[in-house]
Amino acid sequence: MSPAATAHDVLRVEGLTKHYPGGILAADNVGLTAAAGELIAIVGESGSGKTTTLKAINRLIEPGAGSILFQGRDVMSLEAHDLRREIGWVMQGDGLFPHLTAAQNIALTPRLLKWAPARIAARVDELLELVRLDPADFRDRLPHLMSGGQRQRIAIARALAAEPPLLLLDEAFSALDPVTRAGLQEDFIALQNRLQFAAVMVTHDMAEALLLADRILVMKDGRVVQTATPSDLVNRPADPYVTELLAAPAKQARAVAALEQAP
Amino acid sequence: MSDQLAEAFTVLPQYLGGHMRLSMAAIACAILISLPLGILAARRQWLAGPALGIAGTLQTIPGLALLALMVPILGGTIGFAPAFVALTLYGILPVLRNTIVGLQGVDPVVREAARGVGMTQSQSLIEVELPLALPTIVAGIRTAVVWVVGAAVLATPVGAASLGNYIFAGLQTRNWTAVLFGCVASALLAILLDQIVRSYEIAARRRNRVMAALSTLAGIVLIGGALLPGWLDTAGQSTVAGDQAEAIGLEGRVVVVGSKPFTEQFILAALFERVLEAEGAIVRRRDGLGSTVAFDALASSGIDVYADYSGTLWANVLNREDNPGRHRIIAETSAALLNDYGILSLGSLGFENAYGFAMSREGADRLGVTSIAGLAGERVTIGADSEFFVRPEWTGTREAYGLQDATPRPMDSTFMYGAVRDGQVDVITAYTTDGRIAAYDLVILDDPRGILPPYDAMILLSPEAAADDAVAAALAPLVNAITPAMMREANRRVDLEGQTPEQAADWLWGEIGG
Repeated sequence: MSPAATAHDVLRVEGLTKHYPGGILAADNVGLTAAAGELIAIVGESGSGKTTTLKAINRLIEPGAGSILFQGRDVMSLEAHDLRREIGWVMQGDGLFPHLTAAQNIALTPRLLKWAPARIAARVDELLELVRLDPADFRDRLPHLMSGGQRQRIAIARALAAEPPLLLLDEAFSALDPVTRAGLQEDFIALQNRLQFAAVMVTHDMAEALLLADRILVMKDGRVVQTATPSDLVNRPADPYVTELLAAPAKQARAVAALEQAP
Repeated sequence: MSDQLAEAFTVLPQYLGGHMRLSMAAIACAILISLPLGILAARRQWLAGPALGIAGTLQTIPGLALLALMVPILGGTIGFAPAFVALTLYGILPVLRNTIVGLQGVDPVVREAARGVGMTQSQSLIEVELPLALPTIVAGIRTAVVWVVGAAVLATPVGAASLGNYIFAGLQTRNWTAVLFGCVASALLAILLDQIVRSYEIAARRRNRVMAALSTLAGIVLIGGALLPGWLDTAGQSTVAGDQAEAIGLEGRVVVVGSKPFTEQFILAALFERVLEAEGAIVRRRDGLGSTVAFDALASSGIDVYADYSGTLWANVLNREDNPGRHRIIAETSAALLNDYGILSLGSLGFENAYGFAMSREGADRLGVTSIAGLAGERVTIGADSEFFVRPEWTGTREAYGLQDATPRPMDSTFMYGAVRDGQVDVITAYTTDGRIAAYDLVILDDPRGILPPYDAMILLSPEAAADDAVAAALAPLVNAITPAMMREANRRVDLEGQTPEQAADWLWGEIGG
């Protein structure tokens, strides 16, 4: 039931380089690995190449030079849609299909993989429970009848439906209000600990990356500036740009701390 | 009035059936063309521009012109084909445009999500993009339905039976019951079809099987109803032919009778019909054809027989502007039609229906005119059918009598008699056999210089009909059989007494001694 946890990396990206038409260099020799149960965060500003890197993994953007190995297989050796059915995808906003109910949204990838209907139905209820939504209440709801946080939970359930060994998250939590976001982040980490899938998340929010990730890639102008664990990144920033990115959450934390000590 | 209503109901199956066959075939074909094209164009921007441009341009062509243009484009074919092609072109734009707009309006986030969960391009199209674009596409189909059903009344002048037959014939014979009947019937049909499409969409969106089944059933009933009268029609006619086994000559042969859109033509077509049916022919009518449409259809044997006027053929077909006299015109026209088109003229029906400049007696007395020459330099308004002002007769008359200061007022011929009686125009170019000249006490002005050519009504047979002597033999008793007074009386019975053209034709047949 839990995704295959192997000694190998679930994902290995080496030397990924992507030019867009017009000569823009979106990714320049990017490398990263993710093992089962590991959460990798890619942090950077818009245009840093973080989304290009993420979408190259499931070929929503065709990778240029370099190699991307998913469970030891070159992603280019698979049909793009077959590859995507094996990798969970959670996108900014929620990307739910507005004409389908929660259950139909969640069931999509298993249905594309031609699972038996009974297995799909059981899986849908199991996933609703996993993302802490009452199946009886939510199964037949259309997306416009749910809150933003509930929709994002359905989106995560949809991404996990076919038991993928790898989950890709593109700014998955950034559209939510802070309280909802914090709750969902916590639940997500619990889910990952339990199911042991590998995950790569793109975020522009350094605080989020520091809280959730096992390792963080900082990207700027298509290049990886530093790859490190959160504590290494905070204690040994390798580049002035990393220091700059760390300044904002540190300043917020200090401001909050200062208020707490006030009488 | 109730007579006219009963008459309207008896031909309803034929007209409604024709109208539905035509519009449904055109709508179905328009959808079959524009839906795939729209799907393709939504993904390829270079295609969307030209496709919408061409469809949009077709839409700006007035419906009547688009239908009429299809006749020469299809090599003189009249009837279902040109109307079907034109209406299909008419129905393409709304469906095409809404398909493109609907698909392009699907949120890019949703499209990316479809790819992200592992859908192929066609799965994304069928399961996500088309369902989300459906309301917009259906709105386009509904627009097409209303446009096409409405425009299908214009199929009458190109020879396809439709609810327009009520409107065109009613307009010419002053049968307002028929006009209203045609309008209401086509409006009801448009509303009904629109509602069926709408309920289908709602059923699809709510995944409501019962509603979908009901809409399907309604659709089948409608389509079946559209096809059924056609079957009955054919079946009934062959039975009639069988009953008259002892009739000679034309037994079981189909003869198509055409007519141009005015009262006298409808009466003559009805007369031809009863004479031919008496000989056992199966007669089909193509009423209210445009003037050139009728001639082209005859030349290509799309219709077999109709009556046309020597002066009209002289000017429009032979392109002659001189006036060598009545008998020479008939002879030369007949020779030219046979040589150039294979059309056989049986000769004159016996009366002339010329253009005559007519005024109210009061108006003529006021200006003190008895001939067209008296109008020289006068600032009068002249009402005439729109055809007249582009014919050489008008330029000829204008030059010869100095009518440069006169103002042309093109109007439907059915309205001009009332207009000149009431003084809304000063002069009209009346048809000299119209019963309203006498009834309204109008004065026909002399044409001392003989500019207006004679307009003897001639029976014309298509090359196909001419090949077999039986049709000519059947119609021969009508040659030189109708005096101007008889034709005027027949016209008067329809235009002023509200008789149907068939009743007037019966009366004429009685007078002829048939």
